[in-house]
Amino acid sequence: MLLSGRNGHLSKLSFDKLIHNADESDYVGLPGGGGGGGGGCFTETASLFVDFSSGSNPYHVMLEYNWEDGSFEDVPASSIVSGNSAMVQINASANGDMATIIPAADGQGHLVAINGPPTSVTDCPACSADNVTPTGTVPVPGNPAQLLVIGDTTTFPTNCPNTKIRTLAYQIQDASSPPNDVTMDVPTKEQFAMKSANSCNTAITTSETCTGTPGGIIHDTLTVGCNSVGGSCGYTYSKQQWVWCHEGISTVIGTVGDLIVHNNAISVNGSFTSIKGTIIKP
Amino acid sequence: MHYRFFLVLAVAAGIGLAQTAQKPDDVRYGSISGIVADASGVPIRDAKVYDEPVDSVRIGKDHFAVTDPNGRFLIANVPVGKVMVIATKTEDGYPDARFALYSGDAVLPTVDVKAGQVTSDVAVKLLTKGGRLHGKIVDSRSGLRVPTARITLSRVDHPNWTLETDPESDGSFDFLIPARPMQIRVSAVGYKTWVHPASVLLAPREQRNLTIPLEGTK
Repeated sequence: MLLSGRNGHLSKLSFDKLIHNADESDYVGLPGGGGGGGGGCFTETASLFVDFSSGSNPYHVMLEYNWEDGSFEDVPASSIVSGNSAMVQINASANGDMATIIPAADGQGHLVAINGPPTSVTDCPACSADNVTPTGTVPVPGNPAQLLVIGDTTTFPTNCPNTKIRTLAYQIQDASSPPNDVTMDVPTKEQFAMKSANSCNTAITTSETCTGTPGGIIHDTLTVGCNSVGGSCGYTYSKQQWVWCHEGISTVIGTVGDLIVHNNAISVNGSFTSIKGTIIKP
Repeated sequence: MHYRFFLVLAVAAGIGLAQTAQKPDDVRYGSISGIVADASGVPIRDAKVYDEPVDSVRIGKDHFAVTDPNGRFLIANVPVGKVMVIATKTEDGYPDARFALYSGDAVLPTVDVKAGQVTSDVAVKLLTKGGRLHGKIVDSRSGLRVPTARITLSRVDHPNWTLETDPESDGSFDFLIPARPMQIRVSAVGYKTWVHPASVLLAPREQRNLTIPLEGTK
């Protein structure tokens, strides 16, 4: 007897239905669909992806089994090979392979292929297993190149509810057209051309040393703190710039402008109102 | 998979798992450790814990730690002196207690940080869960978005404690509202200021939808 299914050699012949009469029947054995111990019979594909949810580079490489009923199962991947180790470096760890994403030096976004070893895609006691080679692509942004203002909120802090606080959120982007968001943890710092004295007499610490920026979003807080001198007071910090720190080099990715911060009004590059949506270039 | 990736990126962009550190030369540092719990005392994982100096002010990037699965945290590089310790987890409905609009009369722990020492066993309570107010701001005639709109939330009991922010680029908004009466005002260039006719009070976990039509001045 010769049988041929629409999926070629991957098609299976099984006998799984017990027919009692014209109106009654039962399926025999494990229910179809669903992985992870559910006894699913057909895994349609297996693919690879990088799990960015930690927000911290390097990231886990995951192997995803896609089941015939639309569900999926993700497990840590191992023995993965990168198609471009200058942008995606794969290293083994106790919890599976980890991918280190290295922004592209040309400033543009890229897709890098990753490939895994053959893996079984059929998990059914009644079926034989078949091997497929899972693949995936990893989007790699270009080097940090500019900032997009994605939030601009003014409110009052709990510890000094009579002084204003303005929080700006900057998304780091690359130089692609249109730009890609750089969503990895980017080491950044701020710098100023000049800092005036603070007439509110509060001691101020800034972010002028390089630290991580989870998710590639800088949350910049501006306030004078608690105003103990009475009346209007504050400070002016000139030419605020955000800098990407890498390999001992400081690269300016955004020149915001002058910050005039008073207890009752805060200006960013001359604007007391929201600058959300503004693209800030170096 | 393509869609999945961008969804994951969006989630990654919204959460900060690392603690930023600031080390100016003229300030000494200590650390703070403790546990974050909800109002009923249940430890909360993945909450952000901020140190807010009382005697000085920190500008620039956020400084925080994230609680472990047992609700415990350790904040390093904290300036010496009195420091207010504040926990938030807005994605689960706990308002951001760093801001007066939300914290109100809540008593937040203040600790004394000493150079080179860990101030330990600090118990931090999250605020009571708030409700979510979401909706859209539109031109009353065309129904189109109003890109210049600005939303102001204020407390009825402290009208000066406000929060001003923008809707999303499509005119939509989604706010966590503390469980206390609030006023809502929306202004935009070329439109009459819109004020919610009565105070808004959302119960914890309540979700409410609101479409705000702005009327042109011409």
